[in-house]
Amino acid sequence: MYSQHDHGVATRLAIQAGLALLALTAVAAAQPAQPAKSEMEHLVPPQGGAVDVPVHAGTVCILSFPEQVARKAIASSQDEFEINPWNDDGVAVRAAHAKVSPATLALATVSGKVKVNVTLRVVPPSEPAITLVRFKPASAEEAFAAQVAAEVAKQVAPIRASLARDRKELDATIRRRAEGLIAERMLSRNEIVRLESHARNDDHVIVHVRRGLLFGDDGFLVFDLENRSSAAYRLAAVRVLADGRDVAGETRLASTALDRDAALIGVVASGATARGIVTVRSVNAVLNRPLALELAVPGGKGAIRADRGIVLR
Amino acid sequence: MARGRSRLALGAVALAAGLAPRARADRHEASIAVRPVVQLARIADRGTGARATVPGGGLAGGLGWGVRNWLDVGGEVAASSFAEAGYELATLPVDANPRTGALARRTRTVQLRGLATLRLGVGWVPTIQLLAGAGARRRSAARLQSQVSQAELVLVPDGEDAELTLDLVAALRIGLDRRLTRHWTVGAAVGAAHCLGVGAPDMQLTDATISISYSWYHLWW
Repeated sequence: MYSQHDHGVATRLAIQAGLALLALTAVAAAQPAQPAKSEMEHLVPPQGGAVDVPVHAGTVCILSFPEQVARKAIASSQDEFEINPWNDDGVAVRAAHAKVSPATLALATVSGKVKVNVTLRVVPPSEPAITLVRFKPASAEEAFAAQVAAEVAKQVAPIRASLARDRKELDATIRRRAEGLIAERMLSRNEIVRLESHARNDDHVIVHVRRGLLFGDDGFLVFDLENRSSAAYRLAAVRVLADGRDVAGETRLASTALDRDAALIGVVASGATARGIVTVRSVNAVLNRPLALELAVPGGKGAIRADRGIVLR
Repeated sequence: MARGRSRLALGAVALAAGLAPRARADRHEASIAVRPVVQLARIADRGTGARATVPGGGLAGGLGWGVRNWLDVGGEVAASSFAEAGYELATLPVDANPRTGALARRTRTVQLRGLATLRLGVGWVPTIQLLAGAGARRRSAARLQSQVSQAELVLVPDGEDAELTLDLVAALRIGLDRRLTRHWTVGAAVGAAHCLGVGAPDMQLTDATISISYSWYHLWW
């Protein structure tokens, strides 16, 4: 029986093992499948333990112990399994043929620190089998945690497989849905509006707005950001104002330089021109109304405002 | 020597173009500029082979349009007035009789010029400007000072009354602009022009100007 303290420790260990296993599962899901291992380690608590060992017919499986094994082993079926000592600290077992029914083998070390009951089960060649089992003495907590981990792994395996399959299909699913959405919007409305608006700041950075798109329920403003200054232009915010109300949605800029600041929309290198697109949400509400496009850099300096010639009709 | 100076000037222009930032100028922008001008005019007149160099001053105002980032086109109107040009010895008919004496005459011009400006910078903008156009030249009546019987007479020679003639103008101007803000630019330039007189002697001008201009993006088209 476990004490209350032992139970608490074991619970904590079980949770930790579960979490660790889930983390490993997530990592493993992103990695190619590993070949099945033919060896295993089994932690044996002081009061003894039991282990199920799948073996292939005709293949030797070594049961390895950390110390000398008592020669008095008890086998449930000595006729169908060859059981021989393997040095002082091991036992070699081999199933004579594939039709052997499961058998149990009780083993213990001389000191009594390791006591196990091994169930030998012959599996077909298509299933993974074990050729080496290492028994290690462990505390009750360690052994319990290992058991929990093994059980969690067993339970999580199908979920992991399903997750990997879903991930594989995720990109295709997203692309398919996006294409469908685009097609629906194009059917609803798909018009190009010619615009002519230009504005600049005092640092020789110029925005040209030449085209708008009416696309389904939303609109888009296409702009070119021409940086004639001697420093990079770091675009941090874009607003589209209609009657003083910001109707801008997502903005993208085809940056011509890199910047580590994740808060930036993009960067235009000195002497370069970059194209950007800003979404105008619910464009029907602002049709035939003058719009103003405002671009800003961090700190607000260097803002550009194009407020003439932008009307989506 | 003159050829050497020409090569030097050409090299300087090429160097300026090469050193200028790889910037295209102010496409889509319109600008309006005002230029006070100080000038020297080299003027000839009938009845004398001499040429007079006289100072003058004026004002020019123009509109420009950036067709490329490096090229502006536009036009300007320039009005100038020059000091009276004097010639020590001129021989002109007075009442069909040739008379010799000192000749004096004042000139004023108004010109309409189309211009193309090559712009070679962004904040500091070296400029090369080519101008061509036509103008009106207003010349006062010629005054011929002649001595007759120890008396000094001021006569107007035959056919030399005040007149208005036509000029064809070609000019080159080199300058440097400084863009102060998104709207305001100041600059300075020097230039030379040749006025081909139609019904009047040719005239050469050299000038120095300062300018202030206002630029904006318009919505004309």
